[in-house]
Amino acid sequence: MSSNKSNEHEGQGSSPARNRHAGKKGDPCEFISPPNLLLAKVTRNPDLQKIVNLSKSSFKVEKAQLKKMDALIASSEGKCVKAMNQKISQIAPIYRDLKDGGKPPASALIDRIQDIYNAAKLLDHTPVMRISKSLLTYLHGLKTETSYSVGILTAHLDALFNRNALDLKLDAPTKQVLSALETLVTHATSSQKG
Amino acid sequence: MQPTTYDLSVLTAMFVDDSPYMRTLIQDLLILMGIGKVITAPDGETALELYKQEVPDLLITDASMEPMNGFEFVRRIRMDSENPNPFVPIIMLSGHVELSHIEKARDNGVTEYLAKPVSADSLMRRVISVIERPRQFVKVGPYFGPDRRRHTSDVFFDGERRGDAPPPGTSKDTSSTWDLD
Repeated sequence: MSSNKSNEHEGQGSSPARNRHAGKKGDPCEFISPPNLLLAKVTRNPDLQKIVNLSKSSFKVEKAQLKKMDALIASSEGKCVKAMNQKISQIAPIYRDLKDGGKPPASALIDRIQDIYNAAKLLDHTPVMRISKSLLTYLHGLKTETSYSVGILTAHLDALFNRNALDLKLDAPTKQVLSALETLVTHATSSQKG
Repeated sequence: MQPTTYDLSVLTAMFVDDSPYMRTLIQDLLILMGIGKVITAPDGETALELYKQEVPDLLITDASMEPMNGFEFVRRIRMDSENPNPFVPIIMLSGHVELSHIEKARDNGVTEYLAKPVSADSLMRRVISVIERPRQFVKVGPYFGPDRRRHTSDVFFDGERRGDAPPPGTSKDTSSTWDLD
């Protein structure tokens, strides 16, 4: 392991990361280059401990191996998506009831929305996660079973049932939809408290 | 250098995530990659205990977990004086791609950041990257971890390096900007 101390600073630039250290200009820096035990281990060559940066990779990726891995990812995702879709379809009767002017009790939704949130988290399906979390926040803040705004509930369920139109990587329109729902809930819950 | 296949079966990896689905998936993927042993843990606290017992060669962790999240877990790995290997490479696997999140990971001592959803290729590249290009460590003030400044030599693998390129304004130069870092 090699180590050298210096008074080198994090740089003189103006980036936020650098500014965070602006008050610590006097801190000494100690640089440490640990031996490359991993490279030595996987090549069974102890001499390679000295290599700190291979400028050109000699590693050959086996395409068959990558294909198997991708197939595994696709099949697990498929199962999870199926489970999440199933959980969403279970609330379709409540959604229809709301659209027809009904006012089902909030408790009928809470557990199911929690299940949807859990399924979305497993999948890292950010839009469904944010919609269900926002709806849960709203439902948990209600004073009575039916003291909700049908508009807020329907807006969330509309988004859930049209989730395929939302972008998993959160493009600008998706961000707007999610932010709008979250803002609705923030205002509704704060006015309820007030 | 001749193309080679590393013997990853000698490595032990640890994956930390509160989602059982992700734990199973990443464990299976790492085993398919050829890694010999994969340990999993549902949160940072459990992982820290397991880490001290097993001393894995590589850590992959999620960010959002309870009671101890991924950032705190990474910080403890780097800072804990009882830790058997504070230099262990740590890859953070997270669904958050916001810059602030990535900076937080970096400032806590993460070696590499990998955004979900994970692909076979991206996971493989990160693992090979921590083997072939380990980061220099730095201790400055309260921070101890990989040097937070990325060196250009870490980025250019196959193509022309900056030092080999002609200066701006010469015949080969087609870009209008020049990186002065």
